[in-house]
Amino acid sequence: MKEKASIPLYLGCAYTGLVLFFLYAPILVMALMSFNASEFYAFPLNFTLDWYRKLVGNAEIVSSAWRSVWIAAATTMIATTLGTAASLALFRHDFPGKKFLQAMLFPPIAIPWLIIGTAMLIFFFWIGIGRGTPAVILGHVALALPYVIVVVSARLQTFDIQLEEAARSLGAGNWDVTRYVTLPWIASGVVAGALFAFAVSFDQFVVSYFLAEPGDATLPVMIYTAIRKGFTPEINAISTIIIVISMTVMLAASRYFKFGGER
Amino acid sequence: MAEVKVRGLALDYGTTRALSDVSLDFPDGQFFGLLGPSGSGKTTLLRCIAGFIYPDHGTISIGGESVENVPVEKREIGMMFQNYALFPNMSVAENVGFGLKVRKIGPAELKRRVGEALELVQLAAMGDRRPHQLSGGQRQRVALARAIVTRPRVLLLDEPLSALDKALRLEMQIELKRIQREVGITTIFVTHDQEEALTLSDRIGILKDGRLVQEGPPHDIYRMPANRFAATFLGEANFIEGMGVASGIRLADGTILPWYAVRAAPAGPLTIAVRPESISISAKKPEPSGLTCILKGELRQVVFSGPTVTCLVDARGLRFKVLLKTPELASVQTSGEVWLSWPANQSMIIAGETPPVTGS
Repeated sequence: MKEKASIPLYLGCAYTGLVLFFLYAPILVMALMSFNASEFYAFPLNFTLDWYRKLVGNAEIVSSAWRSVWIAAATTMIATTLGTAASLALFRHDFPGKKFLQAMLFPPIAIPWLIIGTAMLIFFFWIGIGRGTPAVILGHVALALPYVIVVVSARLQTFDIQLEEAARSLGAGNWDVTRYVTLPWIASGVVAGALFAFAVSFDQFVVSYFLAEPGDATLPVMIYTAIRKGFTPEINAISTIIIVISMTVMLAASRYFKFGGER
Repeated sequence: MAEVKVRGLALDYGTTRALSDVSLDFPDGQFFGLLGPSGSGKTTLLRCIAGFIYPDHGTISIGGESVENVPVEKREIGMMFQNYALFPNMSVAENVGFGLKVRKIGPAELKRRVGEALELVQLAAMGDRRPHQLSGGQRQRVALARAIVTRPRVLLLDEPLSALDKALRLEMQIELKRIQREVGITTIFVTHDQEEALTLSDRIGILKDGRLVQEGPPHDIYRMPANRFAATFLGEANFIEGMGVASGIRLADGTILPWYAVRAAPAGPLTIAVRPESISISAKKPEPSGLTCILKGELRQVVFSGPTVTCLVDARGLRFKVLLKTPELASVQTSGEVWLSWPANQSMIIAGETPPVTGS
């Protein structure tokens, strides 16, 4: 690292700086304003917790926040269980259509959520599920599942299948093999997949907006509705809380899941 | 403990035939070596017995009980793998105790039996270590303790020594044999290393292209190989073609090699094999006797390898390999005319002609 700092290096640093600035400056401003007494972004900053206090008093927002959390928790549980089971099946067995099935995991990640949301709304009405919390959870699970499978499968790539054979030769049935040998090895991947699933559900707007019934919106939907009625710094406060939660979750995920799957 | 029998085992992998009509008995309490080049089907056969692969045809029985439809975990086997396959998330004691834990053995008995097994492999003090803290030889011993602690009916070994260096390997061979004797367990051992098979096995089965070539005690196979492949895969051999006649074997140029063996020389065209270590070299023509085969030849090359030397001699248009102990070389000049001789009872008749194998 002793080489002379060159022009390209300065350019690279400047570029990275700009990216980080435009990524985090708005968030930082918003977080600051949630502590500012002025409703109109006026400086100097007068520190206050008023907006947070008002937020706690706003039953609508609080109840939608709790709904978001438990929907995310339910989604995480279902998607992680199904996703881990699917990854194990894809890892252990060769069957006709396996490659096709694996390829079909990626489009849902790439297709715009707006389109998926519309499609789900139409489909759920068509088959009689309609709108409501079950529909929201179903939609979230469908969105989160590919993330879990991709993350867990990446971790499984480092697993030696001979360990499962050794366990079976020692008399362990399927469940014992999975519980004592395979799961301990892929645990970090499963945790990372679960955190991804939580984040996908908790931050989800479009699908929730389409599938939730008017009375029981999730937090992102609630915020959107509130902004349309008129912006208040309460929104800054709740957004700051969401950002803190989301970033904590994602940092935890990256702690468990080294990208590329090696650990 | 149990005897293992396979009958008419056949398996196709797509268009390749991995096993074809293999029938073998693995006697109770014996150490059986499955030997063959890579792709010969020896590992496939082992995995069929273990239950990881289900054959297309044929039957497998362990201790008289037919196991074709029994899954691996119910077959009561112990297995050692090429890379040991120790569970990285468990300590040595937990690895060894795994088979007992899934059998719901109580903690007191589990601890006692794990202790005994570790004692047997001389690792009693290592129970708390993790696999990655052990040397290759120690991992090997843990894998062995883990495989036998459940008192399986048969122990299956899939080239378990191939990852060790030569010195350690020799030590582990002796150790493996000692433990096998002590436990008295029927053992089936897959290897491509002929020396290892000879050292360890009570019986050997040689496989080639998914077929059983020959089966029997190592010494019998060495003394009476069934064909060229068995003769060259287990040891080395010089092949001489000739015609069986009343007085012996007549070569193309009319020379008659005397014949004396358990089996009478059959009439008609035949091939005999002579082990390199059976042949002597001398500068002068040996005294002719009725029971000695004598050929004149030209010494081409001497290859020195410590305790032994290999001499390459051309005689009758054939190249002979002759293995001498190093002190015996002193009486031979390094090139020129020499005489080859061997006792007639060292000529082995090769039946079931197959084309000579190259490269082994």
